[in-house]
Amino acid sequence: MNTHLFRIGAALALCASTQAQAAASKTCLSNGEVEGLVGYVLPSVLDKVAGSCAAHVSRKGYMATRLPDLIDTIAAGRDAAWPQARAAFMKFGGANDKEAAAAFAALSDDALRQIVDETFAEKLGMKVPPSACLDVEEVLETLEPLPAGNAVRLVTAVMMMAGRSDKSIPACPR
Amino acid sequence: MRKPALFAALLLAVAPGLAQAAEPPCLSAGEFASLAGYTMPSIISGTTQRCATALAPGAYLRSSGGELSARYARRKAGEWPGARAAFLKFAASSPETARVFQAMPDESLQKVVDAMVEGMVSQQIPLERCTAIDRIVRLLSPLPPENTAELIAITVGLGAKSGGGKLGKIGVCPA
Repeated sequence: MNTHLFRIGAALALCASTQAQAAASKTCLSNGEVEGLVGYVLPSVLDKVAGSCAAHVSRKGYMATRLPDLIDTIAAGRDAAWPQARAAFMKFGGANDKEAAAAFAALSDDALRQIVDETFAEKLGMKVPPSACLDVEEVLETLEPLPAGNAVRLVTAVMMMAGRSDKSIPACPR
Repeated sequence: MRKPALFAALLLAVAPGLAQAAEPPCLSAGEFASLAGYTMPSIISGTTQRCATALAPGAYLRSSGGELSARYARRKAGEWPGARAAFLKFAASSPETARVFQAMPDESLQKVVDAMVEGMVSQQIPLERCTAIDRIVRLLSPLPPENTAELIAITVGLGAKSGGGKLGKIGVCPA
């Protein structure tokens, strides 16, 4: 990874783990940008949740047998989600570092996606405590009848609503 | 009792008892799910009423809130026994009020619960949240009603595990 890429990767990783930085920025994320972000990273997040919970849930349960289908369905929309996700990442990565922002803007889509996949999505892939795996599986299974698009938009709506009442998430005001 | 006004009067009569009562006992996840399942139509219609003026004409609740409420209402009879038990348990912290409720025939108690929930919802939802709520309700609308009730119970139950699982004064016991 060259210096620019390393810098951007570090900026992304830092932003993913330090919400206060986002709060300090004057930029905000629109509903479309958050939806793009969610559509782009949700498959990775769900995949990591399923991986970290694999040993703690039934092999015949929802997470092991049917969640992969949902992940595949949402992942099929990642290319379409990317432009908005990219816009969101640009705001994240460049909010507190003009050099990083400039490097961001100069990157090709492929290079940026690679960095995003390797750093941001990795950071978001929270490790679920074993004791919470059955709860997570129960919630996901309850939501199973929803079309995948609704699931993405639902997560988006919750994040936007949380962002408007909790200023640590930079959701744009309505 | 036939008129809503009478139920409102009854609520006013018993509300001080509930307000002054000791902290209500928590409900099990199952009891909470039954109560949520039974009260969903009232919650939806209360939200629809509350948000009517704050939502755009094409908003989901304005165009489909009634239909959604009716869909959920089909399950009310089945949910009632569990919801009744949960409601009486919740009300037991005020013995006098609980005695009034226990002596009521089902039909009357159902109207009290319906009016109480609808009134609580329509008074307490901040108008600035209506658009976000409308969007979330629309996105969740494909769920079967039993899934929605379970989702609410799980969410409140998860909150209970971290010490904050309550919907108004109604809380779920930590598992």
